[in-house]
Amino acid sequence: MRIVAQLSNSRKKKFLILAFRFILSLLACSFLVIFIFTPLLAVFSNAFQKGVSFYLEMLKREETISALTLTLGILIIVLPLNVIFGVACAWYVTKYQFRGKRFLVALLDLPFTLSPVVAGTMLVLLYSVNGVLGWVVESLGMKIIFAFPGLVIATLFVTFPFIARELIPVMEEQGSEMEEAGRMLGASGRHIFFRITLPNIKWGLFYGVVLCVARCVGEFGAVSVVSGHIRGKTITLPLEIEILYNEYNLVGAFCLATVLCGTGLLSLILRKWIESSEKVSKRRYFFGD
Amino acid sequence: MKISWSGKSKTRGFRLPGFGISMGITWLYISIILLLPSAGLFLKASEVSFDEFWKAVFSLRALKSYQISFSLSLLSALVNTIMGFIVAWVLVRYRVPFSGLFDALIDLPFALPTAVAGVSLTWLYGPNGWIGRHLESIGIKVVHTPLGIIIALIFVSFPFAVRTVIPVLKEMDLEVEECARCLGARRWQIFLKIIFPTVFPALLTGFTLSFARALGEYGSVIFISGNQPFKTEIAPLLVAIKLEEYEYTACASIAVFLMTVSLLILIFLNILESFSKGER
Amino acid sequence: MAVIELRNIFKKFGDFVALDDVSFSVDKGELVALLGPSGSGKTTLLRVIAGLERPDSGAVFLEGRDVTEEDPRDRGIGFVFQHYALFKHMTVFENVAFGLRVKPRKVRPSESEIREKVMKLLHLVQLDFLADRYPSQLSGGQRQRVALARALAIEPYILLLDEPFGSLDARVRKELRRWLRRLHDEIQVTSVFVTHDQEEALELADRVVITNQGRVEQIGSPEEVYFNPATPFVFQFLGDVNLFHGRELSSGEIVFIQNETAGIEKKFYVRPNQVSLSLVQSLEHPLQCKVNYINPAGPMVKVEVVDIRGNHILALLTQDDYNRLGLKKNTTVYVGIKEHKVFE
Repeated sequence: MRIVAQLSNSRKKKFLILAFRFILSLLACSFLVIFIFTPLLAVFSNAFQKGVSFYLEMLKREETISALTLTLGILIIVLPLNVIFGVACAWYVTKYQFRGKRFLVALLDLPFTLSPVVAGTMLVLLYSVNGVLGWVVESLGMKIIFAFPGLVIATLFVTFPFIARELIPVMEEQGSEMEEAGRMLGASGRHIFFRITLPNIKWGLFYGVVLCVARCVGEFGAVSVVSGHIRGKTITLPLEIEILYNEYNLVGAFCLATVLCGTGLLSLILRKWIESSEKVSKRRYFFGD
Repeated sequence: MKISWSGKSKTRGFRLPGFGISMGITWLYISIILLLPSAGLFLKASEVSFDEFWKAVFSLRALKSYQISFSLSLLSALVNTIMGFIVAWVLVRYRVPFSGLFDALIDLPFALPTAVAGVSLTWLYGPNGWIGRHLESIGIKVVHTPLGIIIALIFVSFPFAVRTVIPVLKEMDLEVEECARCLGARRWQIFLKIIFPTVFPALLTGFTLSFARALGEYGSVIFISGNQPFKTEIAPLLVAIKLEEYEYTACASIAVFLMTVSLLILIFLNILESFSKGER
Repeated sequence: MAVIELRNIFKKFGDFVALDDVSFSVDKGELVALLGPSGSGKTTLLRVIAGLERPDSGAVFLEGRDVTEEDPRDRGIGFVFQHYALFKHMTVFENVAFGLRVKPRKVRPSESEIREKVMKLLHLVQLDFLADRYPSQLSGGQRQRVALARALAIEPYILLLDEPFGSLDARVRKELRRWLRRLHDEIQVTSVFVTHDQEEALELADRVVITNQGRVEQIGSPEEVYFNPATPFVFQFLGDVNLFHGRELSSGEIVFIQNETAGIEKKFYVRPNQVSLSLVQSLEHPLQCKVNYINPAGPMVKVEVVDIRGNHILALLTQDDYNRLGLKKNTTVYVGIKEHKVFE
């Protein structure tokens, strides 16, 4: 019968659609697990391969402590600078109309499309003894390349846009009406910023800081070029991992990796948490390491 | 007419306070951190004679490294664009168990420092690793081959391909698809004629970002690639090697070349963005 | 034979009952309005007819055929969406041509036929000069007409319009409304449109279906529903209402005195234009009030009065009556009722 045939036909079609969905879902999920998730799993499973005592011993080594201190030292200098720049830049870009705005916003993307190695190379070519500004550095009696200042500048280069890029969409969405209303009510510039703007962008700012920290701590390419690999002096945590790997201490490398993964995972969890309570606007896209 | 640098143009009555200071900080910071080193690089490169520059940038070894970098980055960006679209589609359109977890997984490469990713992938696909063990038994070698580089590049650049597509898919107006259905379009016709053209700009942006990221990647690749010249030596590595060997002219020349490429990509991305904004 | 027939349609979204036992039919060539407040289920009803929503129970018949299980793409219905759902990446021409281009190859018209047909349709909606534009370059009214032309391209035997004038400004709205009525008279396609604007429904439709909370309250011609509302809801929805609490005595006399106990208590529904005002108390004008507010702008004068209990009563007077009475704020007036409606 015609109607029966039609019915079974539509049932067959429905089955095909369901099967298609299932296969596609399976493909997507297995891709995520195999290509994206297993590297993380490998870090943690290998780190504890030789037991917890070995793990703790690795963390207590002198080299680890000095690398960790160095990394934190860089972070303490870089973070406040980036916060100041991020807020100023976002304020400048979102509250005013001026020529060259698009150029400025495009510049903020440059550290993302440029290889960190090239970034580091630029700094070496600029500040090293034979570099363009080498004579200035030398006459000041400083050492930048293969020293702490170089590591800081390299980290600044790769991380400076993070907070600004996080704040710009949030502030753009909010517009300037609230600030203008505050001005009409007689608020000073400081009042407007701290009482009106900051409470509204605090989660965006917070997440920008989180991203910035994660990238600061994990930066490898740019730092590796300017560091010169001087033991106990210019070895950051990621560089220490490389050294351990090259010394065939794979488990040790993984032990230190868990520390870095911890910061990274924390940033992921915070992001999920902030986003689930819709404290930041949904971004167009975001770069990271 | 005099251009006023204080920004207090006479036609505009009211500006929020803080223009001068925010402008000052912004441009000062950008000049010191970004523009000064870039200018230094181009200055250094300009000291090099054209012949030397040409020899360094297009030496056989350099050419080979570009070829490796570009082709493998293209390939991984292509894989990521296709897989990224499928993952985005599944996460937005279908109900998958643990979808929140899978959504978080997408950003994992952002959270994992590149050096960690490199070490981990090298072990994973090495002879003792979970995946490499099985691949080796069927005769596929990953570590120290171009295949390994591709896998590392896929890992680090995957989020870009997905994160650009997901918002576009989410924002898509269901009414438009319903309308096409009422007009008699089949599923594949709706996909080809309505969904794909709408998502295409985002796919292209995702592809470009993914490609740019892969091209510049260093940390994760140097572990897995083995770094053999002419075989698995990528362009950023060559820059680092030239620098270590104190061949500053060659190093500056190649760096300028790579910098130009990333500037071009940046310009392309901006054109793409203004194009897709204009269409709205 | 009815072109559209709905039989006992039920539809739930979670706990929310969108359609609750809805049945009605539409005859060939009719223009029917689905009128109701937002959330009354009218859009869901339209989507059920189109096949975009499947009813939980009940059946949809189109030209006598049960299509409840049929895919919308096979129904051949033209649907104009509230926000038009134009294809942003296609020109006006390609938008209109879409329905023709996706036809199976065997029945697809040739390129020249498509071209001819699309231009004819664009001419019909007076947009042929915009064929190469993109939707983002059009005004709201133009987009609306493109959406209409696109729906008509597949030669539907039913045209469904969801709030066709909802997102247009008042002036364009009125113009387009009259234009749509003329267009319907010209092409004679069976049409159903959804609206929450009673003026629009009464002016445009041959018949009006009034829905409330998922149920059909009344079906009828504009005159019928306006002058003979079946329920208090319909009465209130179709215009301003004054509600009088009074008692009807066994003699048929109506009194509005507070401490009266004889007779049966009833609610009297009265339109503002059925309220009459007088400066002297009489049997016809028993209720003493004070003028609270007067708005003389417009064809009718709006006068709001307050009775001693504090109830507000709205009266619509002709300019002549208003001038004759010489009303001012706080003038004492006596209110009478010309016509009223009581729901049992």
